[in-house]
Amino acid sequence: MLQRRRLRGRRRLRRLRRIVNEAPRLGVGLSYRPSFRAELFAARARVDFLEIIADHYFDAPREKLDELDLLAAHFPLAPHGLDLSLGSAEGLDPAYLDKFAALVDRLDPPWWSDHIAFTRAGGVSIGHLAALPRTQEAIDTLARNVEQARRAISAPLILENPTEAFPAPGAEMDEPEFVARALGACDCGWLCDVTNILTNAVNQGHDWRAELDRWPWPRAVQAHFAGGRIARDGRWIDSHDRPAPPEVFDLLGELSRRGALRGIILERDEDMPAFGDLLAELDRAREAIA
Amino acid sequence: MTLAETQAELARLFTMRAARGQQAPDGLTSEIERFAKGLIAKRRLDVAKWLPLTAKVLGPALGAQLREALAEPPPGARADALALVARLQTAREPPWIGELAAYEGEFLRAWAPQARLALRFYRWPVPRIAERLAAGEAVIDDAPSPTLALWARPPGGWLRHWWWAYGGQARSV
Ligand SMILES: [Fe+2]
Repeated sequence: MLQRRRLRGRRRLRRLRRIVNEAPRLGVGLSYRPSFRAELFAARARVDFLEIIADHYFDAPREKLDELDLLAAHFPLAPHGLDLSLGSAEGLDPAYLDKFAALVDRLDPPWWSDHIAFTRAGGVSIGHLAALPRTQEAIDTLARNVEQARRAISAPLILENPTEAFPAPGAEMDEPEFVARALGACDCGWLCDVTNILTNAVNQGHDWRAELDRWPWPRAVQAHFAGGRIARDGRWIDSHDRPAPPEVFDLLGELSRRGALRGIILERDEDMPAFGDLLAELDRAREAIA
Repeated sequence: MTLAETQAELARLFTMRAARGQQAPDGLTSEIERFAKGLIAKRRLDVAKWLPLTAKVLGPALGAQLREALAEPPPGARADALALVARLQTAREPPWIGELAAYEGEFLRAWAPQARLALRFYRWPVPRIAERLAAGEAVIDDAPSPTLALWARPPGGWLRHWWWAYGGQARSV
């Protein structure tokens, strides 16, 4: 029994080392959107890598897959999923998982990612990420689903901390502890969305600087950053439609000092600015981690 | 409550207006309502991505048209967009909006790896209207003109599209 536990411990350590230390350094890049395709190729040297939304390439026509091959020929790509619903108590959708596996197979990326969240429950597809109740049961469920995903996809999986519209009922722990325990239970690297950390801290009335020592920084492999709107009541809205505010770059700096970050991605989805403005934000991220 | 029960309950509350009216849990009513509103806004943005020209013409009216078209629970962004296309078939402002939506909807239906062949007839020259809208023009002066449009995708191949408007030249896109 003890031997088996030790063996499992050693295997976990090896896996963590492989994910966190052996992952290549990809640099600073963008979450790809077709609207800036022409400008992207014109400024290829200033974008180190791309994250692609995996869902956009499932059941996609030939022209979309040809676009993917073109991107893959010029940039390292990291596929990012939105709808695997790794936190669903009812388990994963095998058809969706098969599509994800086929995409990862096609790209052979250094890692792939999805969220510590659920998007499907009780036969309802929410159409957006919903935060998990911060409970041990949710962590066990996530770990079970991650194990199933791993059987289908052998490339390393990293998990992203989502925004919490509100803490789901029945919380047994706070957010930093939940994310740390979830990543530990799943043996996964961390896709640290710094904007999500700040958004949750502001909206739930926490001081993010006071909580800095409690996040699992050594597990961080990749970061997301973005800007959003501030509602009339002062709440932050994670709308990915504004330049990132200064706090985001402060936290990116903290993250790079405390972890072995391999890549940073700017997420911009709406109100697309001139492409030069996106490049300037990438440069600002490079300065923050220098 | 088990995790499965909590998640199913939250998913229903997030996506179904009637469920929210009946049984939103104490203390979370406004949070759940806010999340539900955010979901509707996201569905609107997703539909505008699938039907960009239709959304551009509708402008602020998109929200109201869509509210009437959105099914519960959410069937997915493409189904939302096609529901809007169906709803707009009775809309008359501008008079070609229904046909423009149907025309954009055909590209959406062809967004799949499978072979596809579709031939459609329009009373308005919606392909030409679409080109002008895409070029940034405000289209207010077009007149009816019988138009045929063809979409063809060979198995595993790229989509091809042709159209002919009476009184104009045949075009291939
Ligand atoms: Fe993110």
